[in-house]
Amino acid sequence: MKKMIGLEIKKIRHTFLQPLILLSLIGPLLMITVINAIDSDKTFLEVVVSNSVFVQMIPFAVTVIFGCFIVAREYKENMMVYLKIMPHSQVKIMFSKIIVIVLELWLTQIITFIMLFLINTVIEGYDIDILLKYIGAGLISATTFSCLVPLIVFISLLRRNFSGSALILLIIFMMTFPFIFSENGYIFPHLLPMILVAKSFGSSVYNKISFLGGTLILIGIATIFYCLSIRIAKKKE
Amino acid sequence: MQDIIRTAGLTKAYKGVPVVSDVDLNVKKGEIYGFIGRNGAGKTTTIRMILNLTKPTSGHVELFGETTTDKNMYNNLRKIGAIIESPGFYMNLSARENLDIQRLMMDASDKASIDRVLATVGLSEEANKRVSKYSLGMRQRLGIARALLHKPELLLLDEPTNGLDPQGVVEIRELLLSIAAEGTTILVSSHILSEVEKIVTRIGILNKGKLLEELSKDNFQTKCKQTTVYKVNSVEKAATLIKQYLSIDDLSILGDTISFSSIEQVGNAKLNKILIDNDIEIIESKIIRSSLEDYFLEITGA
Repeated sequence: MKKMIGLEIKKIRHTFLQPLILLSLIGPLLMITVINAIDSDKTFLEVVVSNSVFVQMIPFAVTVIFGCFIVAREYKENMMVYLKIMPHSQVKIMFSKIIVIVLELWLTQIITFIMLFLINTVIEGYDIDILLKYIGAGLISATTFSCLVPLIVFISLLRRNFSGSALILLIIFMMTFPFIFSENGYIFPHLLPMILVAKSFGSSVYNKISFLGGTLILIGIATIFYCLSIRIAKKKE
Repeated sequence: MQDIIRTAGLTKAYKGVPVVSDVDLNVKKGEIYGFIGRNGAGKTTTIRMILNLTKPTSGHVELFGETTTDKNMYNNLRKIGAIIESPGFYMNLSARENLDIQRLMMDASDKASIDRVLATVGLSEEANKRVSKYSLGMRQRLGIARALLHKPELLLLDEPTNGLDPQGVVEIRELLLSIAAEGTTILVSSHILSEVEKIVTRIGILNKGKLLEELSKDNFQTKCKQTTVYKVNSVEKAATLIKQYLSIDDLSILGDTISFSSIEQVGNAKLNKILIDNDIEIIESKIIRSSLEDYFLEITGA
């Protein structure tokens, strides 16, 4: 499995993904720093809390593009047929792709929250409670978003087209995005990672959904789409 | 000789419409097997079934003497190299990087094998160039390099000369002959019959999903018609003499040309002497052998 993951990483060399990931790391930090500079009444943490949705959303949008690319490109470049004649199970190959997407997701989400904490410390000084809040938010964000990775893989396997798959997912997110500001936003499970992070930061908007309930829904989503993805990956004509 | 590929009653139908019907294919060890048929004849579907990419509606495939199953296929795939439909590559990577991915996927530890196959297909100097910058011919050659990387016992090549210029076609032909000389069994599918004819040791003719005939090169050469053509100054007289000499009736006359088919090698020198002794001037004399293309058209009824 380690070798397969290494190969997946090797395959994305010299692509647009590296600068895109870098952009997804810089974007939210820049946005929060600028807002903080404009809105001097709020603490840095308050700015992060009120914009946590965007802080998470930008790196996740890049994860969607990343995931769709590494799965759907196998069809575009006629590599899927060659992957299928490798002496490895399709489930293993697909799982290695899921791991790589999850790694990218964790990398961008965790780095984003660590960087936010560092900026916060530079501006307002070190505070252990604030550190714990950022670590908690980063972990919740990365873990909960990871549950949506099988959905990305499923759509890409189904559509077999990078831009089509990424557009579908991003449009779904954008169309349902306004619901995140309502207390019933959790009815769209893909919004749950952002809802749970906002809750961890102390938002009182989402009292109707508990951490446990949200987590269970996400695990359910992950399981369903993982099984569906396996089915597609193993399917023969 | 051991059968490397054997299919029995191999059939594939999509929504009840058969694409491949009851194909019994036999490819023996060390052969270059030409799998010929028009576009849409079912060649690719058959190869896909051999590789376990497509599930047969009925029938089965035996590889290396074993009926293929999902379980033993992983082991078989280590012994097979293939180009299917078109050679696919990661365009952002160089030829060497693509081959390295293939090497690791095939669990081949020998990194020197990359240089070996690049040299075999004549791409050593372009090894570090991105595949997106390669021409179609170079990609076809790289596809063969990838298929050869793990030293397969069986090579399945689906239309390997598709889209190549004449020089590229000749290069691939020579390459296949050199690979076969090392003992690799090759199944090459093509609709360019004149190309297949030059390299194969056996031929399978597929038409509308049915395997019409399987024949060795010797069998094929025997079956191919040979037509002798004479251009003479006295057609009627010459025709009478030829009929007497060869005891044949199917002789055709067109202007000052006489032509007749002959399965056996005609004793041309003796026939020439007879004609000359009878004061017939031979303006031109030639033997025309029908090609695989002619034979294909004849047996497919096209």
